[in-house]
Amino acid sequence: MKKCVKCNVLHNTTRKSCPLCFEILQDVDGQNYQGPEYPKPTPIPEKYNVLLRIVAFLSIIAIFTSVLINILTYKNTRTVWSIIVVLGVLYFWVLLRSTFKAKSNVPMRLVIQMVTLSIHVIGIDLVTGVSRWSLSWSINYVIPFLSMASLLAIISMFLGKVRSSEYLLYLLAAAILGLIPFVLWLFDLVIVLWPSLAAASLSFATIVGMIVFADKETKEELKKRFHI
Amino acid sequence: MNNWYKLDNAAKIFPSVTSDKRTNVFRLSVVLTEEVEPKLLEEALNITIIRFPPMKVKMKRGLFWYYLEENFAKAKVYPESPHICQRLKRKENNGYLFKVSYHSTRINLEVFHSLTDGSGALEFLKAVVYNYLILTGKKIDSENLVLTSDIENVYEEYQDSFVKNYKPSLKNNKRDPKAMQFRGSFYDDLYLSIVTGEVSVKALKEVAHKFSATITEFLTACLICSAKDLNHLFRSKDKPLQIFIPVNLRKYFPSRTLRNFSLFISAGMKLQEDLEFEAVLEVVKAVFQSELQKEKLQERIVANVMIEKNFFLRIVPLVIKELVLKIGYSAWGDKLNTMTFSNIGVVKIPKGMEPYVRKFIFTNGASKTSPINIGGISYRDRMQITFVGAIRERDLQREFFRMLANFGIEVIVETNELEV
Repeated sequence: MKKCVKCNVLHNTTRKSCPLCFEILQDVDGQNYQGPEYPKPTPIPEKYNVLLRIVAFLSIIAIFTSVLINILTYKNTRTVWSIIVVLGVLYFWVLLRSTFKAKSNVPMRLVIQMVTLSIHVIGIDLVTGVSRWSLSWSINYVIPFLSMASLLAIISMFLGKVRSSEYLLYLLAAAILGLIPFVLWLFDLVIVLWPSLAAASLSFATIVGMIVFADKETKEELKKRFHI
Repeated sequence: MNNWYKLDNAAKIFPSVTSDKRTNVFRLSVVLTEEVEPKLLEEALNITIIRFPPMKVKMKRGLFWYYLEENFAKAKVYPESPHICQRLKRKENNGYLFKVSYHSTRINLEVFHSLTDGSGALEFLKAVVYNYLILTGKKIDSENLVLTSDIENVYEEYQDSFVKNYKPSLKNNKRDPKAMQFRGSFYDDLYLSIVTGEVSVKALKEVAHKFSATITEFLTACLICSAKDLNHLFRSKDKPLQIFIPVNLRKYFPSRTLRNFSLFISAGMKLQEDLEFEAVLEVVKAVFQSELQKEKLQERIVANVMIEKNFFLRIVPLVIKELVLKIGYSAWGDKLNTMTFSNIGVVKIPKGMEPYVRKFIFTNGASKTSPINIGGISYRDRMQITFVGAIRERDLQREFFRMLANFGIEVIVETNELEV
């Protein structure tokens, strides 16, 4: 035990000086320090991902440059082609952050993929369409197939070994999103019926399946997620 | 089917206002007489956790609120990190919102405040240590002082006792004033300093009784007085120095809950250089006397629960709720106190455990806006008063312990590495 004469306080320490007033400590009873001591801190190395920062820098510059050139040459081309670049870069980041890196579960990533890819193709469709600002192939073909693919992927995961009630929520979300093209057909926005109808049927079957086979779990999961 | 719980009233705010710099994590440590065996500790932890369903959870996001869901993963123990009370992330540590670590003879339990308060955490730590000692081959009679696995767990242990004591008729919208804030040079890497002063409970009690005050009242007054000459440590000096003192409501309202059931009372005054200790103590005593009454406390409970019951708040999606809470908390809620002094009180453990347990230490967390906090815990005749600090300045600690020494109380100080 050591003592600080200035503070009149005893110190159980290996230090030479008083931790409170920095006066040199005096030994009082010759007894050594009684542990346990605290682990010694080591500086935490700073996280600095050079590659990620370069990619971020290039992404912003790419968006900036293409938007700028698009504006300057708009008179000649009459298309807003830079939207494709912007959406492409944004989609790339979703891919990087959510799909490859995130710790969240796979069904959630699939749903995010489904939504972002849909937005992406809608953007391309809008810019490149035959008559300007109209949707054609994206909502007629790509989005219905996209939703079917991700829904089938989630279903197959469900039939496999993973059976967490948490996944039910994403299954439901994917199924509901799969109904959208068909709803758009009802409003005459979609012209080709069969892909949308196929997607809607799959969604319908999924929802019926959930009600029949997992009514309790689904209800419970919804209750948890949506309690107010 | 998985069990799940809504967050209790006090817990609701924490997930939204937690960041690396404001972790809302506190730590309870116990020092044993023998070196800790990590494997047995982990085994003890996983045995204990079955008896404590409110701790055996992970946090999930709902559309409107966070909630806790039963966690089936194994709980792990870690070697103690020099960086204490770090943020417990939802997706790390197998999803658990507490962390058990060991170093030499010490076992630490760090808990995210959404799970439980100091009393709940202490119950859990006691049970972990009890099961650990049993696993090391000690024969101990639990004397019903520990929640052992053969005692049935009842629904009351995971009840939200705030909501249970909600009576809308007891409404009172008293607002606390804003308080003076610390300033100083912060440690790098969110490092926190620990300065623990060990004192004799008996000696402390004698001095406090001379002023006819309780230990908590006496120490609170000491804290205010030791800050009075430290002008360089504070900004906004026109505001009063306010100390938050958490009150364990289980003492006032019948409750068995293992979740949060405590709230703050606030004692303080404007600092002047010529403050007399007796005068400060009188103010503190008056606050304790008027605030620590069942009706007053219930009024505060009602005010807190009323916010949660607000229909419009409830139907706002969590994303927006979080944003509002974050802004509101840093603009208003975070500025009500200068520091927190949390005295857990006396730890009672079975006689058979005492030979193996040297001391308990309670360490509060600290944040950018509340960089120095104090925790107190007593075991047998020794009380450990622990200052946790996010700033390098330790004038307050020095003045405080010098003051206790001046009252004739022997103080033994222990610190972690302070010169970082």
